[in-house]
Amino acid sequence: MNLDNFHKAFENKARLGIMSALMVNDALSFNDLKELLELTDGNLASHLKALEKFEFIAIHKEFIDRKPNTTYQTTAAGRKAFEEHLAALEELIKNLS
Amino acid sequence: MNQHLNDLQEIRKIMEKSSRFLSLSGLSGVSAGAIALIASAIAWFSRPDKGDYIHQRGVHHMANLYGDYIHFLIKLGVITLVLAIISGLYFTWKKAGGIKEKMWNASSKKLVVNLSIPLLAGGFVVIFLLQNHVFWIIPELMLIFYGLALVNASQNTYRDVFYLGLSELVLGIIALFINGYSLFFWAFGFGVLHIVYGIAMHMKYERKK
Repeated sequence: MNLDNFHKAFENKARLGIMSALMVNDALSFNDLKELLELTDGNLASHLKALEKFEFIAIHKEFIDRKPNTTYQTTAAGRKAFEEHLAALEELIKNLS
Repeated sequence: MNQHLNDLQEIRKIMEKSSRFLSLSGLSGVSAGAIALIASAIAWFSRPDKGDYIHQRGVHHMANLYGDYIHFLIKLGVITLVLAIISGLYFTWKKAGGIKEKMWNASSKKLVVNLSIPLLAGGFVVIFLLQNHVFWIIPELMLIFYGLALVNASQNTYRDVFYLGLSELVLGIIALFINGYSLFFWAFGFGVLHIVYGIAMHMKYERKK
């Protein structure tokens, strides 16, 4: 069984959730993600930081009405890793049945 | 192994939830439909006596006498639209538990954008037709553009909205080929269909458990 494509960045459920949401949206704000995944500020921030370290997500900071607005996007590397992770998951379950 | 299956289901759930606006309330449809039916009734009972006028002066001069009625209908239409939007927003706001972030988020923004594009295009077509005194085709075009808008926006909310849009679209096209029943088709599309789909969605998504 090939587990090479099981990326350790996605071992955590919160990170899996963040990537899933960003895969189907161009960009989401911190608050969008917080509401969607029902995580605390600190928890979400640390997982975002981890994904950023893997260079799977990119951060954009801008100001709207003088208020800071941070949005998150997937990177090409992030999308590729996530798709491989999904394919590996599917493969595993297919082999099972 | 169950863990992986759970992961896949979780991914699927998050993707679904993050790309669709699920606070849209069925009751919004019911209230908008009820308002449309009341407006249709007002329009019907305040119509001028068409028969006599055609008999006396001929169809081509109808627009003159109908001028007042058309102005009345425009005002009625704008009031109906505003009331329908306010009532629709109210029930959706209630379903979102009065939480601003749940009501105005990434998916609802996309919903509004995708709904607005065909709707605004239709609005400008209607304004153009009003300016040029082409009235007979307006109710049908409203149904058609509204149907297209719903089909376009359905990717950002419940699947039922797709079928509602398709129904409005087909109804509008049928109405194009049947003369003299514009108001009935309009009342059916904006009134009855909204209420029927609204009740169905309410039962399906809000009454459960």
